[in-house]
Amino acid sequence: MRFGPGAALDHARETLRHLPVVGVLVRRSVRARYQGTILGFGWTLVTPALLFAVYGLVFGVFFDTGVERYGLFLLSGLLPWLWLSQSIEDASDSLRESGRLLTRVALPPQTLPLAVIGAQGVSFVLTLSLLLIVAVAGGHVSWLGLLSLPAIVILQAGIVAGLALPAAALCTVFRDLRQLLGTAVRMLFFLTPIVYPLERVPESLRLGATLNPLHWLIDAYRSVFTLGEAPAPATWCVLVASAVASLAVGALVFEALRERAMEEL
Amino acid sequence: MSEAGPVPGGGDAPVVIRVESLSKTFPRAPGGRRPPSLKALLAGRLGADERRAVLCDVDLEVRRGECLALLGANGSGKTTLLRLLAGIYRPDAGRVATRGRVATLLELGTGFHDELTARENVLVNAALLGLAPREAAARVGSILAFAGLADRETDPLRTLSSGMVVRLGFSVAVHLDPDVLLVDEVLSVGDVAFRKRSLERIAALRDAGCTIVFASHEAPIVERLATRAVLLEAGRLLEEGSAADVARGYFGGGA
Repeated sequence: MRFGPGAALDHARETLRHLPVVGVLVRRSVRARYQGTILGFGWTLVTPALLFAVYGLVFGVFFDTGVERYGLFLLSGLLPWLWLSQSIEDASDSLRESGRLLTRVALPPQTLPLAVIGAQGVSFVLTLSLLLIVAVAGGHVSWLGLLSLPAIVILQAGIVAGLALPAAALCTVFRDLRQLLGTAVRMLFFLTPIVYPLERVPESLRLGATLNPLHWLIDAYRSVFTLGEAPAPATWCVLVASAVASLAVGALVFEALRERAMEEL
Repeated sequence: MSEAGPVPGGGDAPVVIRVESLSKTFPRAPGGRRPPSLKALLAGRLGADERRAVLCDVDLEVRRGECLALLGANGSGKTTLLRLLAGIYRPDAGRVATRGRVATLLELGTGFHDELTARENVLVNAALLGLAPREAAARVGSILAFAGLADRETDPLRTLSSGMVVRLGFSVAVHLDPDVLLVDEVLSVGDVAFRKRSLERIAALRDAGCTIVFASHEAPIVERLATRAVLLEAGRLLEEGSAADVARGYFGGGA
C-alpha cells in the first residue's frame, strides 16, 4: 500500500496518460446506454425533466419557497446535482461491474469511475445547454456569466472526481458502504440548498449550511443563471480549494485502497 | 537488432521479463472473511492476518524471443503470475520488470459490448489493450479482415455468432504488435480451423521475435509452441527446463 504526495502524483500521471482510454470508455457507454430503446438519447432528458416536474410542484407550488422564477432557480441547482449524485452512485458500482475487464487488461482502475463521470457529464452538458438557451432567451444571462460557465463545469468535474474516486474504492472494499451511500447522497441533496434558497435555512444554522462546498457550487451556477452575473470572488476561491482538496484526498484514498479493491474483483 | 539470434530464447538475447522473489497474497474468500476493522485500516494492516499466499518467492527470467509455457494444476498461480506480469496486480513482495509493449490475451474480446458494431468493438477492445486510438483506427481494417468479418463491419456484435466474436477478439490481440504477449488458456477455443489458425499466428509472432508467456493445460499446444516451460505448484516454481522435459514430467509419459 502506498501513501503520501508521491502516490497522488503517480496517480495523476497515470491518469493523464490514460485519458484517451477514458475517452473511449465514455464513448462506449454513451453509445451503448440507450441502444435499442425507442427514445434513444432522449432518455437523458427524461430523468431531469420528471424530477424537475415533481420538485417544481412540491417546492414551487405546495410549499412556496418564495423564490422568483423558481423554475430557473431549481434547474440551475438540480442539473449540477444530478451530475454529481449519479456519477458518485454509478462510480461506486463501476469497479465491481467491470471486474472482468480490470482483471484481464492492464487498465488503471480509476479509468472506470472517471469514465462514469464523463458519460454522466455528457448528459449534464446537454441538459445545461438547453437550460442556457432558455435563460439566454429570457435575458437572464450576462457575457461574464456565460464565460465563467465552462470554468465552473471544470471545477465541478474536479469535485465530482474527488468524491467519486474514493466512493468507488471504498464501496468495492467495504461492501457495507454501498448500502449506506444511496441514503447519504439523498440526505446531502436535502441538506444542500438546491430546492430551496439558503435564506430559508434559519440564521442559527446558516453558517453550517455554508460550510458545505456543494452550496457554493450550486451558488456559482445560480449566479450565472438567475442573477446573470459571474460568481463572486469568494465563491471562486471556495470552488478552487474544494476541487483541489477533494481531488488530492480522493486520489490518496483511492491509491491506498486500490490493490485491495483489485483483489476483490 | 543483431542480438535477435536465430535460436529462440538464445542465451545471449536480452532479458525482457525479470521476476525477482515475487510473492502475492489474496484475502480469504469473502464468505469466510471477517470484514477488516477500522483500526486495521488506519494502521495500514488491512486484513493482513487473513490472507492466503497465491505466489511464493518466484524467480524467473525470460529472454527475447522465448516462448515460455506455464504449467500447473488449477489454482497453482498461473493466472495470477500472468496478471502480475501484465501489471494488473501489484506484488506483495519482490519485483516484476518488463521491457517493451506488453499485450495481454487473458480473455478474448475483453470489453466487447453486444449493442455496438463489430468495428466499434474492435476500436474499444484495441484501446483497452493499450493501442492508441489513432493506431487502432489505422488497423481496424486488417483486424476485421483477419477475422474474416470485413463485410460485417457495421453489424451489432449480438448478430454475430459466438465463434465470430472469438475470432474478432483474437484478431485484435494479434494485431497489437507487442514485444511481450501474455496468453491465458485462450488458445483452445473456437472450432478446429480457428484453433489451427490461431496457433499458427502465435507461432509466427514467436518466430518474429515476440516474447510469449502462456498458460496451457494441453500437451500438444505446449509442445508445438513453447521453447521453455516452468511448472507451478501451490504458488511455487517447482521445475524449470526445456518445454519437452517439463511437459513430459507434467503431462506424464503419454504426452
